[in-house]
Amino acid sequence: MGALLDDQKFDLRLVLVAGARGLSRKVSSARIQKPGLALAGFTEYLHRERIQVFGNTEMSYLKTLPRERRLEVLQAFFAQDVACLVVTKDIEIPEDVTAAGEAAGVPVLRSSHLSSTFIENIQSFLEDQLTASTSMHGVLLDVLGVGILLLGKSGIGKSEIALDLVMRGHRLVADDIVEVKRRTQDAVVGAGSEIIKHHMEIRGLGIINIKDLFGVAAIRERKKIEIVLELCEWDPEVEYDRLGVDDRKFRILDVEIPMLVVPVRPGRNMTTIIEVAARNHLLKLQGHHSAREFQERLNRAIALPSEGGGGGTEVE
Amino acid sequence: MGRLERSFVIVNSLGLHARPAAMVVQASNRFRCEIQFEKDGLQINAKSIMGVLTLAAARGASVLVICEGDDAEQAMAAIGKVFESGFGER
Repeated sequence: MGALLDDQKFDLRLVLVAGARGLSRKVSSARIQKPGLALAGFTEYLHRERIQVFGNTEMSYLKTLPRERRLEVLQAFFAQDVACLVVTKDIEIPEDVTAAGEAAGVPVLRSSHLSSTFIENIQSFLEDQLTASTSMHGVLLDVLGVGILLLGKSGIGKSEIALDLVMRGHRLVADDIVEVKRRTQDAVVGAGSEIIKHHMEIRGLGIINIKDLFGVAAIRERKKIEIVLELCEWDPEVEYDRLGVDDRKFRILDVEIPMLVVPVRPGRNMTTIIEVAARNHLLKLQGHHSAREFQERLNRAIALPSEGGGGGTEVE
Repeated sequence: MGRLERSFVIVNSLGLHARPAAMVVQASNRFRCEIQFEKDGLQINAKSIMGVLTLAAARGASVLVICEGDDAEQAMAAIGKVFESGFGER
């Protein structure tokens, strides 16, 4: 609840009018409710976990009631233990309403927005606040429009690789701490934390500000994570993917994201490899799967050894 | 493989600012085990300075230190010492 009042980003324009002691209440539903009929006594479908919005309709209706009835209605409404009440359009809130809210310990707030605008904004706000989130240790970059999350042990060179990519004109979203939120059923979006945003630590240089050093085009506020790329030390015992035919997945907040495990070794230009990974991803989005197409081509060639006489010649 | 957890309270007046963060990270990096710090539900890797800075731990804040690995015990002792000394500040 407290977060409602502190918010700047979603332009809610809320002012607390009464019921401050109820500010620790929790809103657990991303939907709001216009109580309408509940004021006429039909309180069965009143959802206590939702934010209740009173617009012109509700306020005018209350005004038409004789005072006694009005108090009764308000008491019945607040007795449902609703999360909070928001009156929109900056409508003057009668004493009766604030008193009833205060008595029930339900925050009564006012917004200067029209009901429709307010509902739109509050819904985005609630979705943002109530969605699953986590933070991850890694670097998130926008490489050719593809969101790539670099993972790997501390000291493997994630930040250095990211810096190299920024030098090539790609964009940094977050270094080290990536705050991840689930946007839709199958998309997760990462952003930097408020404090260290646009900063990076490079061993030997210290903390640097990417935005100041490279300009606004070198950074990005948030980006959907499309590839997870894990950097690991080259281990001769481990078999690395040599074909790329099978797609590996990495789960973040129950969303499966394509994953690549790339060994780091001196002489392997990681920046180039990551840029190519992004290009390859774009190709896959367009329906071209290089590895699988190659495999099919090879299979065709093997299946038709004698035709054309040359063994592996293309038939098409 | 051991796993240790201990809570430390920030005692110096300026809190876990940049210089102390560098001290803690340097201490963490001397060990092989995985070291995580946790505060207010945010868990970060103690071997990275940006992570430690993200905690923005002020005086009086409590930080949970989690060490996991062969040398967890030694790591916890070393990090504990840094926290308890108030990072050499008041």
